[in-house]
Formats: sequence, C-alpha cells, structure tokens
Amino acid sequence: MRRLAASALCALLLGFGAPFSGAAGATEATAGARAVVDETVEQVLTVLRDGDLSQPQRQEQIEAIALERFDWATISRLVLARNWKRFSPEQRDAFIEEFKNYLSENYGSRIEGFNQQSVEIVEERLEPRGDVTVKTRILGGEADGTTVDYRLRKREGPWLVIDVVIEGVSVVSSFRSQFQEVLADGSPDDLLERLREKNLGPAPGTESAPSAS
Amino acid sequence: MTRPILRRNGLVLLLGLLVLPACATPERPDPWVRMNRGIFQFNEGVDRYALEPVATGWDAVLPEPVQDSVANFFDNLDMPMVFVNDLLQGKPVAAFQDFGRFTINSTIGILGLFDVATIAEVPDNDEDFGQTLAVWGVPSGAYFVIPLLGPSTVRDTAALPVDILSRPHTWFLGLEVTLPLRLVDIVNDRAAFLEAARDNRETALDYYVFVRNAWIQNRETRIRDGRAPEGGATDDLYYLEDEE
Repeated sequence: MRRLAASALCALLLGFGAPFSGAAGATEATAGARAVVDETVEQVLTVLRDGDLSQPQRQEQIEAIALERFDWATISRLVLARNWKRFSPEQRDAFIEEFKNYLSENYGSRIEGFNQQSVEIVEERLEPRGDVTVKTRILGGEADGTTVDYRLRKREGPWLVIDVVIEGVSVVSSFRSQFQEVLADGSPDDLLERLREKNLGPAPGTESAPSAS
Repeated sequence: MTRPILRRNGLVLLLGLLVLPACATPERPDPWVRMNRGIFQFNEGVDRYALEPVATGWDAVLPEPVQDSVANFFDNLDMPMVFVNDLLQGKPVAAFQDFGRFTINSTIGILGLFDVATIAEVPDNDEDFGQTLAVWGVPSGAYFVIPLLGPSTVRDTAALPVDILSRPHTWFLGLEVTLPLRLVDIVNDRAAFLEAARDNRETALDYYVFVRNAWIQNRETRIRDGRAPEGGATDDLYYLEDEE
C-alpha cells in the first residue's frame, strides 16, 4: 500500500499523472461515464465563455445542461435518505422540484467566474457496486488545482451524475446532514417551506453583487 | 512489527483518555453540539465584526499577486512541519519533495515569497501532526469548535502544540513576532474566501451543520492525501437500505 502511494507520488513528480491512472480501469463503463463528464464540462465551459450571452441567458443554459445530466430523483432520495419514507408521493415530487430550483438558484450563479478556467480529467474509477467516479481538476483562475469528482450511475438511460465532490466535500452528504437537522424536529412540509423561502431568497443584488473581475 | 503496534496502542490509550468522554461515532460525530454551537456563534461574531471587515480592507488594498506572495510566505514557513510529518507517516518521497520545496522557495523564491517549486512541478504535500495521529490509528474524537480558531476535533486540538513546535521559526522568534505574523496569515487567508463565505452563509439551511459536515469531509480527505475512501466506506451515502 505504502509502496503504491510512493510510486504514485513518483509518477506525479515525474509528471506521469494522467497515463498512469488511465491504465487503472479502462473498461467500457468507465469510458462511457468519462465521456459524459467530458461532454458536460465542455458544454458548460462553452456557455461560460460565450460573450454574446447575457448573464440570465447563460444561467438558463447552464440549468438546462444540469437538468439533463443529473439524476434528480436519485439525488433527492439520497439527500433525504431514511427521511424519504416520510414524504408522500406529492411531497416527493415537490421536494425534487424545490431542491432542483434551490441548487440552480444558489449554485448556478457561483460558476459565473469560471470562464477563464479549463478542466482536466484526472482519472476514472469503477466503484464496487457499478457506479463510476470521474476525478477532475480545475486549471487556472482562482480555483486553480481544486479537485471536483463526479459520481455517475447508469440505470436504463445514459450515465447520469448523482453526486459532485469538491475537495473531498460531497454535495449529497452536505445536504443530507442539513436536511436531517431540519427534519429531526420538523415535518416534510417544514423542509419544503424552508426550501421555498430560500428559493425566493433576498432580492438579487442586495448583498451578493457579482464582482467585476 | 511489535514495536510500532505497541507505540500505536500507547498513543491510542493516551488520546483515548481525552476521547472517551466524548463518545463520538461516525453517525454521531458531535456529542458536544450545544457547546460547539455556542462557540461557533461567538466565532461568527468575531468574524462578522472584526475579521471579515479587516480582510475586506486587506483585499481592497493589496493586489492579488501581493496576497499570493503573502500566502506563499506562510505556506513556506509551514514546510518544516509538513516535512516532519511526512517522515512520521513513513512517506520518504513526500519528505524529499517537501525538503526540496522548502530549500528552493526559501532561496530562489526569496524567503518563500515566490512559489518557484510549483513552477518546477514539485508536488505540494499537506500534513500536520493531527493527520499523523490519524494515520497512526488515533480516532478523531468528538468534533470540537476551538474559540477563535474554528472547527477541529479532540485529536487535532491535542496535536496543535506539536504543530507549533515543528515550525522552527517559533523557536527563536518571540510571541511578539509570531502572534502578529499569525494574524497576518489569518487575515490574508480570510481575504481569499470573502465571496465564498458570504454565499455559503446565505444559502445554507443550517450554517453550523454545513460547516461541520464540510470540515469533517475535507479533513478526512486530507488525511487520506486526497485518495478515495476504502471500498464500501461510502455505501451509506450512495445506497439506501430499501433499495433493490
């Protein structure tokens, strides 16, 4: 184990990071998932770099990409975990909708400044039960070197993203812990109410004016 | 083979004395949540009324390259600590890299102000004594928010004095120098996260829980040097019991 770590570091030291990992598990599954991440990242970067689009237009297109590439039903089940059972079918649908809006409202705007960056795919890994993790790294800009891992799952259709892990921090885990806190002494409707409040949020521009950098 | 195990057990025992009353488990990492929330609120107040305003001014006055150089300078001062912990964790390659990094940046990089080593593609490792204890098998113990310093665990808090002593500049510089230096380090660091922190505060449903979860996840990843957790460790996160 230690020798493996040492040789991995050696490989990195010599700048052989990418070919080293590519050989690890180049199965059909990992290649398929990798292609999805590759395409998605390219789509997003193309939108971010398109100077002809207005900010709301960019936002709209990014959201459209996210809607298509993420498995929202699975993500919603995973973030609610054991609390999923407490939600009625109507509440589940409402939750999926509100959570989707919440993420695009609050996180969509954060990648606005990423237009000068590029993304390299570091490696992909087949997980024990069939998911694939695609590790990427942001190059350039303020977030230079930040690792972003995408976990993908395939059911009937194409590979879809079920989690994003930024510098080791899983978005699914982050929301699961917060939703558990709300649901510990609140009802599903309380959580839906909180999400709706957040989605209406403070009027845009009151505090988080986008910096002109 | 017996000696390392003995040493490990000794440490576990020693730290166990601190950890036991906390009874932290992965499912319940925060048995001191009431006290921690209080300290967190206090730290938030200090941030809102002192640190954030100062860091905002700092960010407005100092150009980006200057802030980068300040960060480089302090990163470089940490390298002896990283080097010692590379060795303690049995990572000779990393130790070699970090020794080289410190030598290059302290000389060609003018006291660490310029990160020449990264340009030369010398990898940057991240170690401290808390991580070393974790690698030796010491459990994290309870989540603990340190007044003024922020998120930590019992293990990582106990490791802090070793981290201070493994930075040689603290041996010959008095507190009247090291404390202001540390403040500059903190302000400069904070200036890099002005927008991100504002966004996180605004969007989190429970900011305390958000910070706790993110800090623990990130810390565990750093302990594993960025590698994925051992197979099956994330099953709880990605598979629900009632799933087919």
